[in-house]
Amino acid sequence: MQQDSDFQGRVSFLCGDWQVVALSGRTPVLPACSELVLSFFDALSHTLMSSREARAYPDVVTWAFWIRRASLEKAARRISKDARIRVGRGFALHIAPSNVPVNFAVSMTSSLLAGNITAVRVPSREFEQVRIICDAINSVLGSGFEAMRPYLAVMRYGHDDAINASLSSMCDLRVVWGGDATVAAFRAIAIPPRAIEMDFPDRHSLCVVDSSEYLKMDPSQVALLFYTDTYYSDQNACSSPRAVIWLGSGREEARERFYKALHDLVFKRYAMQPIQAVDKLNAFCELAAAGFRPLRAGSDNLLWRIEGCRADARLMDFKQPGGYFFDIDASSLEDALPLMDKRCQTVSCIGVDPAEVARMAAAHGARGVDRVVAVGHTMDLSFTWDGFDMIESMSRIIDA
Amino acid sequence: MPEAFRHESRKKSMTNKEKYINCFTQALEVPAEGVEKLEYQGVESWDSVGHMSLVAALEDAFGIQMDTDDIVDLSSFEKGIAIMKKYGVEI
Repeated sequence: MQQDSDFQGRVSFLCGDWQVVALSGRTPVLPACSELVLSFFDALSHTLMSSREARAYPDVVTWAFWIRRASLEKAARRISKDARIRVGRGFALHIAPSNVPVNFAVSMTSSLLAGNITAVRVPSREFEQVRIICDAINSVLGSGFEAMRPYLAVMRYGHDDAINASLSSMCDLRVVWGGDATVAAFRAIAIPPRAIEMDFPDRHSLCVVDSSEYLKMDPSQVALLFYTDTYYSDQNACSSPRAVIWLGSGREEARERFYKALHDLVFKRYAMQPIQAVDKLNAFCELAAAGFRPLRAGSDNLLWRIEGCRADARLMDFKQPGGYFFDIDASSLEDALPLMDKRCQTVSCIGVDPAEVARMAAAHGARGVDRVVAVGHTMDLSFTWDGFDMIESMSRIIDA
Repeated sequence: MPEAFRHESRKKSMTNKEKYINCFTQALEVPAEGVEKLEYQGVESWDSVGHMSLVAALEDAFGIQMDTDDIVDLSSFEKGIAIMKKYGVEI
């Protein structure tokens, strides 16, 4: 990079250094799912799984579990079923989102497995999870994985268009996670003609419940699973359901039981910030001002449950994190279609067969719904994300 | 893999039973006494995080790759013995 010296003071490297970026054009790409990368991740998995510090963070442990050899080899087998040669695209620049601490590592995983030289910008907020993972990466790089050094850099820098432009001008793949504004800002920065871009803008997610099936379940177990999907990430993740859609018979009894069990758990576990109460009230007023006729059920600020709205696509313009749910009555799954627009990512299911939801969305040509899972699994890590096969999309084929 | 990352229970001199017990005591940080009675969520440390540590330890100790169904089914010390059998590991 020409402006190396200008930038060096403005970028701090948590892993790797400028050399990784500066030499990226000359560093050979790796084959997809190379043994080097698999064993690097396995060593990293061991380091984190046996770290007492990491164990305090379920999201770190979940990622560490996902990158263990047994799990990655499954992904590798899927890739190698295609007999054609698959290699990295080159230098991959990743812009990680500010709302999910471990997301940078997830993006990095697919990118390295695809065979790319990978540079990730982590959010400026100093999450402990980021530090713990970067410490582990550095420790593994220093104990037998020197060969991985040219392939990985983790950096932190502020909103700096000059650095973004310079890194973008060199990349072969740019991966941007973030709100719509972040994605739009990067879209305005050119990448080379051969480079490709994968963007992960803001999405919303839903939960569908078969009421009579739910009434057969243990309410506290379901509450815990739903809590994991929502409150655990402050309902900030794209995959956190914003609306709960009630189907089938016994709806009234089911929703009373559901929200009571959820509230009991939230009361015990969730530390709400005062600003969240203000934001929820504000979102509710905006919804009312927009012509909806929302009713608020429940009596405290931990759990806002908004009734009286139909499944209307505009509803999601008024979504709010921190325990704020649109509670929607539906006579059939099809009633939820307006919410399954192109912004809809995950549908989580309670007592509903995920395959049925997927078939329904496909049969109606819905523009959204990239993933349908059982409740409690919206945060599961997967190599298929937002409709992309991540390793395939980040690599290229040599057709011979 | 560098030596530092090898799990202790891979040492050749141990019997499968010893290795198996070791996985529980290390992953769940529990004493060896009473380990046979352990069940998922029966002790505080065998939560979802402890479960992942345990599975990783077992895969490592016996050089196996567990299927998702078996990972979910691993609900007790006893149950785990039957699951290990599927992977050709006699405890």
